[in-house]
Amino acid sequence: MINQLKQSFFQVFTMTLLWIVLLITVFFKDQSISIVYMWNVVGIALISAGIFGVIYNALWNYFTLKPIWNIVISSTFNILGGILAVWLFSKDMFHFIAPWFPGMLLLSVVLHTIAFYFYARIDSKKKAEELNKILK
Amino acid sequence: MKVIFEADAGIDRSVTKVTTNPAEQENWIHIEEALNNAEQKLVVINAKNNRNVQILLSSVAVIESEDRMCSVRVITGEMFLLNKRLKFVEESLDSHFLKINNQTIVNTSYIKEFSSTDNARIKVILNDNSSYFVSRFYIKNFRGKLS
Repeated sequence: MINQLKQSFFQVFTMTLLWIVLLITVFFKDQSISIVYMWNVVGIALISAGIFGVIYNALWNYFTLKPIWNIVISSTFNILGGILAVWLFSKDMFHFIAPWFPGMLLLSVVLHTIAFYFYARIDSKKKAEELNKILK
Repeated sequence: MKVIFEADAGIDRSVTKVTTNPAEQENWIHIEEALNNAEQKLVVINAKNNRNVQILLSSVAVIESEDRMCSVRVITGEMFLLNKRLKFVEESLDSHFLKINNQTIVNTSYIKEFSSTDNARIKVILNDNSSYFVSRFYIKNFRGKLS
């Protein structure tokens, strides 16, 4: 489990780092940035890797918590991580989107409910049927 | 003695059928003893008197992690302790045992069925009607072991 999560952490970390560098290259190519700002980008990649590579992976694949806990944990980390990532990316952008945080939280809860409850319910039924077929 | 092995899909995985000549009936007890002795055993602790006892591995239904120890439940419902961490226990078990989540290993011979719960989780139900949740990660292991 630890090895799988470690692998997933570094995969997401690398992909996010490349993605942010690409976004900066496309949208801010004429601006010069300080080398210290690169650590902000690393910070964003670390947040993303922690949330999507470790927390989501563990909640979906390894833990057997009730969906309500999956929804609460993932929504909370998702929104807090997202806010922190925006703050690290640009303080101006953070202040600009601040009034929409409650709406974003609501949307996050709705989408996580669909994923961790409705989709998981369909998926569980399908998997249980498959396993019962193998047993027979 | 010549031994002939025959497969019969109709009998349970934990049962071995021995067919002999009627004249050999008086030796059935010895054959059973020999087979039981040949079977892998597990040394566990009886928590009531803190003594080590040997139990047949095939009688074990579930092994659950209890911090640095494990609890062992045999199919008759009796509970024992095992002074080992789950990951080390897992290494010493035979192919009938399968991990179903981070805390639990079950004997696949005693699996009755799988069911999905209202809470979007997958449950495995054993022959004694006890049930345990299965992590999605370990489901793919079932496909290889049960088929």
